[in-house]
Amino acid sequence: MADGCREVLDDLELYLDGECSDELAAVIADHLSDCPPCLSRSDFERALRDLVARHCRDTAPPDLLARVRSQLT
Amino acid sequence: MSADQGEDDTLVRRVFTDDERREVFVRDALPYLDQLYSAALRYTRNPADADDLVQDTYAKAYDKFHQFRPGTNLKAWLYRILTNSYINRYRRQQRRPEEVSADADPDFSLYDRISATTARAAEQEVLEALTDDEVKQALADLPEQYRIAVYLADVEGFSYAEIAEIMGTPIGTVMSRLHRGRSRLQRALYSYAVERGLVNDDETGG
Repeated sequence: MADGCREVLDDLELYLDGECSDELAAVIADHLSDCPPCLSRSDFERALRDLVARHCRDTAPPDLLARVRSQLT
Repeated sequence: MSADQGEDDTLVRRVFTDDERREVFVRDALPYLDQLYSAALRYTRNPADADDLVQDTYAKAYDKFHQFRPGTNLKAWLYRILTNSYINRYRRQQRRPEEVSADADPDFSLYDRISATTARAAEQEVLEALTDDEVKQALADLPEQYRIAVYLADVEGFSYAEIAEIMGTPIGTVMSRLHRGRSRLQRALYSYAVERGLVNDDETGG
């Protein structure tokens, strides 16, 4: 693995979480656009976050809203 | 009391009479019901407890609504109350909080593991094949602090700073919980994938 890849992958979690500086984000985005193996990994990590988001949402029971409202006195 | 605090109090009273306060709360806070319920279900892992936790959260939020500063992040404020209520209520039932040893917790990359054991590029296909129950169970099996951090980041999209505020911990702790929680989650998803024959286990990793 090239040094450039190693540096990018070290910060990939921060990047995907939207928590790195604009400057670093630009460097990583630039590298990803040019490096298919890193892009593939990045896409996978992003898909993993989406997977958790997609499968872990639920809807409240139908009567819960009414019960919550009734206790606001 | 400083002059500033006096003015703030006047402002809050003027803006919110009791009826107005109720109206604003119903309009702004109740739309988060499904989201808070989802979080409560992930936290408690039990529909009856999740239901109680959400009711309790809204009752507390309504009582404290005069403390909420309009224009600040209401969603994060509600999540903080939910998370505190959960920790205070359910952790008290345990003898001690779950302890997690980082030593016995090596990094695990699902991407690397699938790549190493599968001939063609099938990483995304494996993710698509995982079911709702498997993903929910993998999250449910995480230690509490990891489960909450991963849920807040990946499902709700809160920033590290917001999660730190919600969980009452430093940002560095949030980052470490997220990293380790995601790593464990991937290990659990990998074992489901192996069980269902979606990947061939290389039998070398734990």
